[in-house]
This record gives sequence, structure tokens and C-alpha cells, in this order.
Amino acid sequence: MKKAICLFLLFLMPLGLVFGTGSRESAVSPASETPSTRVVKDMLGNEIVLPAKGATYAVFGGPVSQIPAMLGVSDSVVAVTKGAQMMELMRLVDPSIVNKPAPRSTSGNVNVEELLLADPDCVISFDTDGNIVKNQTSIPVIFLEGGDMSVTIDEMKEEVRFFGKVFDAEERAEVFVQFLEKTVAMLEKRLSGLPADKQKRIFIGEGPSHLATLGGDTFITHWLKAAGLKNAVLDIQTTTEHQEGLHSGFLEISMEQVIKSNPDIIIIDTGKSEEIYNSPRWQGIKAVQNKQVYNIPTGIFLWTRPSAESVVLYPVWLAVKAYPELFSDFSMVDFMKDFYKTVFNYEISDENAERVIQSKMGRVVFSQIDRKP
Amino acid sequence: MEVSQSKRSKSILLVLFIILILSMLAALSVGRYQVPVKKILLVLESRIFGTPLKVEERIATVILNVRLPRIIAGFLVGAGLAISGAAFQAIFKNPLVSSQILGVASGAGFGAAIAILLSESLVLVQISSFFFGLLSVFMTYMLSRVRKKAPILMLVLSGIVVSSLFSALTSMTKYIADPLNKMPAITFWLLGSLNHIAKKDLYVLGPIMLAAMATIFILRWRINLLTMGDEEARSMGVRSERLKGIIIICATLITAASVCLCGIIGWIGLVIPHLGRLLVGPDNRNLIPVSVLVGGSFLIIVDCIARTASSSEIPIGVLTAIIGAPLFAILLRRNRREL
Repeated sequence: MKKAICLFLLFLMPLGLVFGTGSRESAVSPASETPSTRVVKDMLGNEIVLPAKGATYAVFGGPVSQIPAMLGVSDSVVAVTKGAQMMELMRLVDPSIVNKPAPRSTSGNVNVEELLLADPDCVISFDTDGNIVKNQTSIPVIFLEGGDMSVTIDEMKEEVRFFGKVFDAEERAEVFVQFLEKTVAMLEKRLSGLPADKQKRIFIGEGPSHLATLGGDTFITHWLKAAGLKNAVLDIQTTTEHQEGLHSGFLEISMEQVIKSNPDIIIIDTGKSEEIYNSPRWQGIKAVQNKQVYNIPTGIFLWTRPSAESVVLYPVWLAVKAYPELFSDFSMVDFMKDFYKTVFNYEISDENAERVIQSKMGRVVFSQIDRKP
Repeated sequence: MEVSQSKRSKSILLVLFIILILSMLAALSVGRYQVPVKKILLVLESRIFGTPLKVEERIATVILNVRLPRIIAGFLVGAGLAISGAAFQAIFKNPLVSSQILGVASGAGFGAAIAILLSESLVLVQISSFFFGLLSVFMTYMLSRVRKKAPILMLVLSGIVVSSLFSALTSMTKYIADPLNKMPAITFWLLGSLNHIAKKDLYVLGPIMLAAMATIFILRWRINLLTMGDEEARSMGVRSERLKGIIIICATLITAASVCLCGIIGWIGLVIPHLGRLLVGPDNRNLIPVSVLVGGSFLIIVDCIARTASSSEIPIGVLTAIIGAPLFAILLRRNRREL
């Protein structure tokens, strides 16, 4: 009896596969010649078996959530990350993300039942969420590496290439890698005349206090290097410990340390630069005297996270802000339009590109409300 | 006997006062930005006598706009929480209460959380936190009123009810907040830190705290009468309900203001009065001034550790708990006969 059911199910499986992806293939015969499964090796070396065609995925992690849209494979993603789903530009680039279930809110918070309901063939995730899924469900996990905010530019390329392999869209991944390499080369060329002692120093000051920063051991140091800049708090390590309430990689430092490091430029993510210009605590710092305090742009995702978008656009934006004389013939908006078109196949309007730079691209805070049941 | 006791208290007060001044001076001269003592004196000199500044502007900023407000806030918060703790322990006739028992901290925390959720302005966060702190204690008080009186037991139970309600509301706020930005900001704010104190915060909240502290200070001998019980107090001509009300208002103002300034800092209101009792005994006439001095010095010193021990700021609420809990444990063991 059992055997009969098994055989029956085995017979149904290819049928389901064919009809499930009916739009892509013309259903001729259920007895397909290609193997019904394929094996994917994750970044830790584990082997995960997936259906050869039509596999469905859950993607957990804010910065990586944009990669399926980049690769043009959003259709196969059935569960997403809440933080990414809430970003206005993410919703414009990939409108389908709005109505997908988002079982993962922040790192370490996975609604397992919602995940089971979405029923993906596998979950792509960094270790924290991945282990939750692994321990509580039988859904296989494709583990990513390097979720600790210390990734380099080369590791970003590898991350996107890895997604390319998993989603079987390696050419699209190469498009991104080439765009990134072209951008780094462009920056290098324009900044080639800049002597090392003329390099400006930058302080990332997040949170309402503007004191939560990314230290010398985080990705930002590599991004800044590409932009011909130096991290003002290069000597501080911020990935080694974790402060409750702050994203990993960020630590709050004291006001005195900021004054001591005396940055040329300050990037904030909360409030307005005038707040800092008018605060007596920040007086005497070069960035305040030269009025070089800027709000961080927000695009598909927050630019102060290691994402495919930020590794290309953030260094360019910073370099333009820091050395306007070297970029007098350069249009940031045009560059962004080229990037989103080439890499994400999305035509961003001039107005929206401006809004990204002006940090006016919003987040949809009560995202649950407009989710269809 | 009485004379020698008061002499002993006086000399203890003098020593504690010297310790407070020394800890303030030490706090002024330590920090991640190393400033030689000579330059600190130059900055203070130019400030006090209005002479032109002889050092870089950045150094003056560090001393006058970063360290000095921090030290003053540390003193106000430490002393304020300790004095309200001592007063509450007396009126509740219970050595295990602190000024947070009526729900002020949870209320203020919720006020801050909701303001962080809805706006980005630090000023609004402080106003909202102060308002909700007062509101929660008002709710507790009204809830506990029985026949124009607020019996101690009812007060404590109502405090638990109101405090749980506001903690739950805070969790709810965190739940609906943006997980990328707002939620971490709320959590971090609630942890408490003196890292965000600016001079202008002190202009508003400083006088409120000082006035409330002064009121408790003046009433300290009457508080002694309260500890003997309502009946006895009344027979001595003290209107205990009214006195209790005034002290609750003062302690609430202090605690709400301190939550506004630097988030929720635990343990000080509980531990410092016990430390004070060990030094000068349970007489509130001496205990209250001692609590002010010890509380102030304690928080200033702990804050020095918080801002210098590691390259990042250690949340001060965490440190006061780490230092306060074992200290309290030692006090408990030493005092177990009296408790």
C-alpha cells in the first residue's frame, strides 16, 4: 500500500513541477529527460538538494534581499525579509515583494510558522537565522558567510556570484561584477592624482546621538578606500563586541573620541545636519566648521550596510561629496540611472534618483497593513 | 553619646564631600581625548575670568561641552536617584523599594519609545518621556486611592500594575517600530547612557531636579516621623498624607527627569541609601545628605569607567547593575540581622 502511494507521488512530482512552472515550459510530456534534482553547495560547504527546476526560496537578510531582483529571479522567492520589504525603492524595483510573506523581521527573529506556511524548498540565510530554521524545521538552509559587517569588496562580488549559482543566473551576476569593477576602476582613475596626505577623513555617526559608528574593521573601511577616503575611527574595532540595541558592526563611541578624531566629513542617518551645526558639543570639528555633515542616502536598502547597491553607489557618492573638483564633469544622477538600469533592469526616474541622494526615499513602516491576507 | 554621634556624622559628611569634589576633578581630567591638566585649568580660567582662550577650540569643547555637562548630569542623576530612593524607603517603611516602584521609569521609557517611533527630535523624546513618567505615577496614585488615602500596600500593587502596563506598551511600540532603525534606537535609549547629555538639557531639567532634591532635603526630619507610622506622625502634628504626597511628587520629578537625561539607570536608588545607612545609621537627617553625596560620586565614577574602559561606550545602566548587585549582596550579608 505504502509503495503504491510512493509510486503515485513519484509520478505526480514531475507533473506538479511542469504545471507549477507552466508559463515557462510547454508541457509536452511528464517524463522529462533532465534529472529532477540538482545539488547546491553552500558557503560552508554543505550540500543541499533542490528540485532541478522551479525551486522556491526564502531569502533572509536585509542587504542580500535585493540580489534576487537583480538576477531577475524574484518569482522564485516566496518568503522575504521584513526590513527589505519595507523599503520604498525595493518595492519599486520589485513590486512583487510587497505581497510576499515576511517571516524574518530582524536578525534572530524568524516567525517559523509563517515560514512553514510559505513553504519554500530552501532558505538562504546567514548563520543566526539559518540556525533557527535548521533547528526548528526540516527546510534545508543554504548558509551564507560573512554576515558580520566586515566584508570586503571582493567578498561582495563572491556573494553575488554565489547567488547567481544558486538561482542559476550566473550571467546576471557577472553583469553586476563587471559594473562594480568598472566603477572601482573609474574611481581609481579620477582619484589617481590625489596625494595620500590630502585624503579626507570621514566619520559615520548613526542613531539619534550620531555616535554609533562603523570602525576600522568593518566593510565601510574598504568602501571608503575605494572612494579615496579614510575612516576617521580606523583604530577602533567595532565588530568584536556587540552592543544591545545596535546593529552588529556598530558601536557607540564617546563624543570625546569623535572630537579627537576630528573628521573632515560626517555622515548621519537620523535627524538633520543643522542639529549638529547648532550643537555646542560638535563645535571645533572640521566637518562642522566646513559644513560637511550629510544624511546618508537610502536606496533599495540602507547604504550603510554591505549590499550590492551600496558597494557600487556609496563610494561614488562619497567621492563626489569629498572631492567635487575631481568630479566636475560627472553626474551622480546619470550614474545611478545607468546602475539601476544595467544591474537591476529598473529605470529610475530623475526625481527618484534625487530622492535617494537626498535621503528622502522612504520606508513603509506599517507594512503589515497593506499585505493581502 | 548624641553629641559624639552627630560629630561622627559631620566628619563623615565632610569626607564624602571631599570625595565628591575629587571624583568630579578626576572625571574632568580623564577621557579618551587626553587633555593635560594644565590645559584644563587654562580652559576653566578663560571661562571663569572671561579671558581669551589660550588653547585649541576643540579642547575647550571637550571640557566645557562634553565633560562638564556629563559630570553635572552624573551628579544630579546619581544624587537624585539616591535621595528619592532613601525617601521612598522611609515612607514605604520598606528597605527594598526605590523611586521606580510607582512605575515612573516604565512610564518614562514608554514616553521615550513612542516619541522615537513618531519623530526624530531628541527634545520631543525628552518631553514625552517626562510627561509619561509623571502620568504613570499619577495613574498609580489615583488607582490606589481608598477613601482619600493611598495606603502603602495599594500604592505598591498599583505601581506594579501601571509599570507592567507601560512595559508592555513599550514592547508593543518596539514590535511595530521599523526594525532597521527605530527599534534599535528605542532599545539603545532605554539602556541608559550619559553620552548624549548636552548643556541645554541641563538648563531645563537641572533646576527641576535641584528644586525637588532641595524639597526632600528640607523635609528630611519629617520623613523620620513618617517611618514611625501614620498614627504616630499625626500625633506629632505631621499631616502624613500630604507629606507623603509631596515626597512622591518630588521623587517622581527627579526620576522622570533623570530618565529623560540618560535613560533608565537602575540600582542607585536601592543600593546607595543602604550604603548610607551603613555609614551614618537610619536617621534620615543624616542619611539624606549622605545619599546625595555618595549617589553623586558613585555615578560620576561609574560614568568615568563607562566612557574610558573601552573604545566604545559601555551602557551605564549595565555597569551600575554589575557594580550595584554584588554591592547590595555584600550589604545584605552584613546587615542580615537588622533586615
